[in-house]
Amino acid sequence: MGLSKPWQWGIRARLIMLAVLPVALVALGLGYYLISSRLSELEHGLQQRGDAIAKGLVPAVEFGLFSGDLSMLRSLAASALAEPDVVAVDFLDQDQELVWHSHVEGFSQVESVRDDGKLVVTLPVRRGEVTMADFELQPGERRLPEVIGWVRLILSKEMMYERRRQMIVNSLLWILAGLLTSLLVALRMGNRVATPIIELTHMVERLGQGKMGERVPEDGGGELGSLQQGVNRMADALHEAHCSLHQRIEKATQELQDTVAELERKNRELEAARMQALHASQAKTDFLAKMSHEIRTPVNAVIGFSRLLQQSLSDPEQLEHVRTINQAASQLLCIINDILNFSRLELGNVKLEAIPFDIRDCLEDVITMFRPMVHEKGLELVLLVHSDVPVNLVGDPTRISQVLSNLVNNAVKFTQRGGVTIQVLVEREQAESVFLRIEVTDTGIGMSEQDKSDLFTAFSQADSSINRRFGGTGLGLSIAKKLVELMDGEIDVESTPDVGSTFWFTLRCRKQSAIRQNHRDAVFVGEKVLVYDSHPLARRALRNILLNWRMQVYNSGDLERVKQVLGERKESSGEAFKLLLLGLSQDEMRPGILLGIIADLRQHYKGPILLLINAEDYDLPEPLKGDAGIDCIAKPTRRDTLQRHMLGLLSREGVTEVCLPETAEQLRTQRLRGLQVLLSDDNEFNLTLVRTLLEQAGAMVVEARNGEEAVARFSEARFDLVLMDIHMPVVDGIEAARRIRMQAGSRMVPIIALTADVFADQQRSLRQAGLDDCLFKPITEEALWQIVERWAGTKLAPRDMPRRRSNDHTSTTSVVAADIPPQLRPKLYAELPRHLDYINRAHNQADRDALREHIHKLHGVAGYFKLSDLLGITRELERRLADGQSLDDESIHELNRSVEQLLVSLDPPT
Amino acid sequence: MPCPALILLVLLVLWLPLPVASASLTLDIVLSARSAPYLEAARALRHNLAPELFAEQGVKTWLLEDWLARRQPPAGVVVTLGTRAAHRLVSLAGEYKLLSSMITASTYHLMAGSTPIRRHWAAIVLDQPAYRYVRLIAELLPEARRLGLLYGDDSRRLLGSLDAVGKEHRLTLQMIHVQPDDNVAKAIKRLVRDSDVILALPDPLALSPQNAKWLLYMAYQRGIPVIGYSHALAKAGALAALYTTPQQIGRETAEFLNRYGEDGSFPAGMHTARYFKLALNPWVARSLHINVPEEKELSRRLHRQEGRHGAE
Repeated sequence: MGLSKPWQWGIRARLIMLAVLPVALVALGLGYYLISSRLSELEHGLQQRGDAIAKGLVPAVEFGLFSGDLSMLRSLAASALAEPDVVAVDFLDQDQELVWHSHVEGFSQVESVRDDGKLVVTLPVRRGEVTMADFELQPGERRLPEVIGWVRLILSKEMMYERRRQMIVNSLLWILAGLLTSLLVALRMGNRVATPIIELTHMVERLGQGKMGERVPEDGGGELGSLQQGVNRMADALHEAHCSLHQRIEKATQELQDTVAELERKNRELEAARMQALHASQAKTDFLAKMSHEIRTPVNAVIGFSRLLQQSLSDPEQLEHVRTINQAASQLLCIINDILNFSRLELGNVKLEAIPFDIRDCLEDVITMFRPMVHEKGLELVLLVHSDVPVNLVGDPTRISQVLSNLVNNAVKFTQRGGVTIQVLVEREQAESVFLRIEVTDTGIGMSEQDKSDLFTAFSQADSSINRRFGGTGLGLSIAKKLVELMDGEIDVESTPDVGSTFWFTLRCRKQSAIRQNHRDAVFVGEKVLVYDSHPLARRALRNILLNWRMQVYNSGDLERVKQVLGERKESSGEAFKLLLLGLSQDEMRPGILLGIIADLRQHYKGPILLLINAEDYDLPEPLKGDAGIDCIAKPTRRDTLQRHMLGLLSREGVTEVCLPETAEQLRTQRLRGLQVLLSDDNEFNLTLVRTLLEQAGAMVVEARNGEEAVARFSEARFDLVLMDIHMPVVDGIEAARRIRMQAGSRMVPIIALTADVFADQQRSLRQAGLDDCLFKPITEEALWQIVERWAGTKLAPRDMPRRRSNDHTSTTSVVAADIPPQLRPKLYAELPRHLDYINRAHNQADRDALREHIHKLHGVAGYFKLSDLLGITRELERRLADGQSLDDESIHELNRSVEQLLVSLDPPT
Repeated sequence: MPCPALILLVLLVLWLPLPVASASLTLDIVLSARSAPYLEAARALRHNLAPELFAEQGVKTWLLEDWLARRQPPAGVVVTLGTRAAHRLVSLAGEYKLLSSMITASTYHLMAGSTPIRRHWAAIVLDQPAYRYVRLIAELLPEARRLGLLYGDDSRRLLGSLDAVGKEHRLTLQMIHVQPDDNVAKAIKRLVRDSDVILALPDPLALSPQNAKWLLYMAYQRGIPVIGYSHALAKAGALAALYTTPQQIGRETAEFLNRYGEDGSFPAGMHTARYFKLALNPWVARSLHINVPEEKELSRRLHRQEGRHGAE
């Protein structure tokens, strides 16, 4: 116990401490207090006694000292010496001279005064006085009575010391006795309390160890007895519960084991079923993709050949049959495309682009596509872009077009009369982005609420009869919905049966930070133009375009009003219109009516007239054909088409001097004219494609097929830009760049790496070698122009850049032969088998380096032509080789199969 | 021409001794201190002034310092109460009449001996005349023949009259002269041994308050009665005492002023108080086994001997 910490003591020790410690502390404290106070009292008492004796002597001595009566003093001294502790008495006169001295036997006066063991009490003896006058006639200062002598008592402290010793000894003995008594009592009581508790503790410990038979004797009495009884009863209950619980646990364990076994069995079955389902789903998706891919080729052939046949046939019945074949094949192609898209979306393979684009261009592409179909059905198609819609955005125009195409396609499909209107408006605008709402409204058959419920579900159409009447897979809207959701938007429809439907979707696009100004828009600034169209929305859409060009627009849907206005603003006046735009309805396009309208208008207006008609091909009535001031275009029209025709009319009329803007091609040609480019690549396709693009843009291109040649070419001439492939024979691109950088004056020439590797460490090594930037393969035109613009200092606005759809692989999986430039197809047809042959040979010879090199080259070819299937296979093979894995036969076989499929899809060179 | 009878009447009126103040007498009462005995004496003085002689507004009570610092001229009569005021005013010049009251005879003699005597200066002292003490002793202790007396220079003037009056009552004076450096204890021992009765007189040199204690103590030890001059001495152990209270001295003073107001007489010199009181200590009498009459009876007898009835 002595070594352990107090809080680790047992209950017995704690109880004893609890009882003894306070008693000991109180006893010691009290003892100290009492002893010290008693000692003080003894000292004080002796002093008091001395004072009292002296004070008693003072009045008695006064007369003796006053009268010099020594006998009186002697008797007084003797009476004082009779008091205990008094050992000497002195009476002194007023001059402190000894008058009388008495002492007890054996007392030495000289020593006594100096002895610390003595107490000396000295009091003055003052002359007493009586009051004689009844009142003070001459009040003065009251003085103390005169001192006539002194009384000095000397008391011995011996007896006080003796009493003090006795008192201390007695006190300590009493304290010790009290402590011993309390210790004995505490031991006795502690044992009586602690023993049962310790026994209980031991019992509980043994119970905890599972010894359920342990009990304590119930002899504690009082609360302890109750506690012992209670603990014993608790132990009994615990024992019973333990037994019962044990039985139940055994039973439950058995049941649980059975259940676990059952669950494990079911899990295995479920896992097997899931794997089956996954495999089945994967197989289905693969099958769909492959089958779609496989079907597209023959279907393309069917369509192509049916068109050829259509051109060669003259029999109407046969023509009708061929047209039917063509339509059926086209529908089949659409269905296959839908299935392919849906599969990709289901697999999550679709990644959105974020590229700068013009939303109007995007929309105009769609309406241009559907315009023939609309005109064929005699419908009105309107594109109304509200003026607050930002033009320059960043997003995925391909996907937007895809969604919109789907909706417009449906609208046109289900509308027999009336028209289809596309409206674009800003739903919400933030600092960095804008939420657009695009609505496609038709005047078609409409839908009930019930029909709308499953509208966006895959493979379902509003009405099963629709499928029969209009065809379609029922995938279009579900594809659109998934794409919209990818663009943080939502899609829905509001529809009334037999009235029409409005499909709308929202999407979020980032705003372009720098708004590019188009100089073409400045051509018509301030020009006055009059717009007529009986269709209000078509008129408003046209007006918005013209206002955007900052023209002065007067518009009306009433021809009479138009005539009136024209009459008011004669050409001679300064208010005359420079141009008249007439949007014609189907009725107004009839020759008779049209001639009448023109004749009426010509009475008031002799200037140019641009007719916007609801037809793709329209023959102007004969009288109008000779009128150079009249032109016609299909509506709705693209802005650039409209602009071109307006410029044409105005320039013919000589109304205004207009500088015709350069086409994008011309612009680019002008911009890159004189640009000297060194292009180094061992891949023939890369060389051909990049050189073609650059030369078309006016640049002068010098080719090199390896790094050594590139270094040599660079030293022979002055270049503005070097495009350097990294993986080249003899000397690779990094080394070549390093050598070029060592040449004088090369520091100013940007060197751009062409590579398919995008790893960060390689980019770092490229920059260390002196390469300024990277152009990743497969090379897109946009990327190429951006690089050229950035490093060669040319300015090519995106609007002017050649438009290509996308460079994402998913969008190109279906693009095989159709997207490959015809002049490159023969080379591709020859190059693919050659690379394949190298690869097979290297695989058979287990030449890992050669295998890696040729697969890399094939990867470059696939990337160049956006052969996504082949691109995926070669990328995977490259990755495995880079990881140190070996390629099995199955992988090489798959590569062969992919290349063969690709060759089949390519027309063999004639 | 004026009528001779009228002229005669005017002359008669001018000749007649008219009251000095004719209700225009002014009086300044100057106190030595603002203590109870002086205030009581002043109150008794004002109370006993004849209002027809001293108008209320003409009588002013001053503290000594205030009177000295006043800006107005003094009244026609100035009364000082107590030794301090008496000492201060007696040396000041002025045409007013000065009455120094409530002082002892020794004070009067001291002032009279140290300053030039003013023309209009009188004093009323508290000391009892010698015959009054002798008459009291004769009444209380008819068997006593030796009258013990400690005296200093201040009480020397009383010895003559005391001796003369004592002889009338067959009393022999046992006198011990005490100088400032003398052993008073021995003198007291001797006096107590040689006397039947001891007379304690107000003489600071002969009998200080300290010595008085031992005089009383030793006299008690020898069974010798002591006759004192104050009520305090009677209480301290004297058998009896004769004294004049502040009220009595105030009254005495007022009567002196009233006489002046009535007839214009202002007798200069020292005057003893006519009014007095007797104090008898029955415990001392019992301790000394002396049969004494009742205090009132004895007082009446003494006053009767002086021609007045009853205690004042």
